[in-house]
Amino acid sequence: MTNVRIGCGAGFAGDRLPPALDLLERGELDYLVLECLAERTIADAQARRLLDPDAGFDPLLEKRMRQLLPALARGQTRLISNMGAANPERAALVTAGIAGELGIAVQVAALTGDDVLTLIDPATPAIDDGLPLEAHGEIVSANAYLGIEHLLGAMRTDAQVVLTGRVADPSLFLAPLVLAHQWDIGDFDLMARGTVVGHLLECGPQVSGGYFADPPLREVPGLADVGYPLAEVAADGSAVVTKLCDTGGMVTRHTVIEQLMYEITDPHGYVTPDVVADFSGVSVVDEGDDRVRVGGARGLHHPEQLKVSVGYREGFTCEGEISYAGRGATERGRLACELLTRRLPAGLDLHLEVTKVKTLDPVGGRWGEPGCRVRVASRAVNRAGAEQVAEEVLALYTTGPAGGGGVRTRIEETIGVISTRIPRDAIVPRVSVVSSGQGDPR
Amino acid sequence: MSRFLGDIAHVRTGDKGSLTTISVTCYNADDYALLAGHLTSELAGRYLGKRIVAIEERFELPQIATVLLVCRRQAKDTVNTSLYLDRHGKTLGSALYDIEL
Repeated sequence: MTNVRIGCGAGFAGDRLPPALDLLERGELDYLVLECLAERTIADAQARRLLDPDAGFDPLLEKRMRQLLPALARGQTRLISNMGAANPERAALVTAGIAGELGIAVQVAALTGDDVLTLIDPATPAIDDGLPLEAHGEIVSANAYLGIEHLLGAMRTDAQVVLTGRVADPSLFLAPLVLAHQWDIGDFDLMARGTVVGHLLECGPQVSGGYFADPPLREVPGLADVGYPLAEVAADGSAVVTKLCDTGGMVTRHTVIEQLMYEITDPHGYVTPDVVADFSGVSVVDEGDDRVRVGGARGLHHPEQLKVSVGYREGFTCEGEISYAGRGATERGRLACELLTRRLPAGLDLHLEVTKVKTLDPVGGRWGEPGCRVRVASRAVNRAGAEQVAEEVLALYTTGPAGGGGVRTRIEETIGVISTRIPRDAIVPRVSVVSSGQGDPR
Repeated sequence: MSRFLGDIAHVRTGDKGSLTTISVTCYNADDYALLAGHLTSELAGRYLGKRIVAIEERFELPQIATVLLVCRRQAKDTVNTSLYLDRHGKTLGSALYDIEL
């Protein structure tokens, strides 16, 4: 088989929309992956689904699909995404509904089985701190990180679009590589090399010039139109990471190394459901023209248990801010902090930050008067407790130091995330396929 | 003239639960020995400040001219539950640029 071309059109839920369409139209891709699901995101999605059984998938799903489906239908590229979040089956129906509305014939597969809320024992100790899961708060979600063995079931259908919930990010890329190159999933060196490709692509533009600019030392050309990455992956697992011509950004040895080490806690043993990979011997060779060759990862084995992210109700967080400007601003900021500490109940977990600020007028280019911004953040067990903090910040207007302004307060429920593990064979993966028009576009 | 870490290397910070990862990569691989020799966990810890409770691991990766630090934050200082403005702690690693070589 020739090289497999695989791109990443989103590296997180809030990523820009147009680059994915560009990749689809000009990338001659075999596969386009949209990675949109963080640990927190799925717990939030699960909480939304508890309120509305039809909710729980990615809020941008419909917008992204309306943009991508027409281009998808014109070509052969398959789209893989974890935008199913807490409700992949509903996400597939909505996607099929939009396709029907647009007059596009497409099949959409949904992979479920990551939701293991009913399978975990709440008395199990959390990996994070050894305390029982249930001791942290009311558990709202438990999602196992599925791997390629589960995703391949969905990939082996005729569906052009595959939607999942929680799947390990690199597995979203490794599964199509395994399918296209007919790799043996017991060949752990190949699994490690495909995992490197997935790890490099999964954060989208973070490997192609995003999150890298630091002028004047590190200039990134055309960052406003940064191109999202793609990889050309050979049958031996080596790959070239690159981006489309006529896009901004850059792919260099340095952007690739930063992403290779990103959020790695052990470069000798990076654990995914598919492999424990050794990244320490990976070679990174800059071939110029935004082409960087990677290879040489080694795989050791695969873990017997899968990681499970458990979401729990942690309470409420309140954030409040106020500004002071001009002479003595810092002292007034300090006084505001002292007042908050005295007025709020003792024993409250109060976090105070005073930031010295000097505001630059981006139009006139002139610096304003120096000042400071006071920020207080606090946890409360309930909404009323959080509201009390917000009220005291607001009241600084009339009862605090002179010249305070620009109060903003925000209260939100906190879903904490802790981890446990589940035996691989406890997972019951399920794949369902729907066709255009079978669903409704909501 | 004094040189600083920021003159020879670039830094990327990531987060995983209450861990912060900081990779420090030389622009020029020839500077790797200088970086690896100079950037001890103890020195990095002083620049990173009190939000980092401990530097748990330090990996040397000569093949990619990189030193990787794995740092521990407080248990509740995770992206979901942190009270800091920068919940991820993504801005932490840039403090290392000021280390004098």
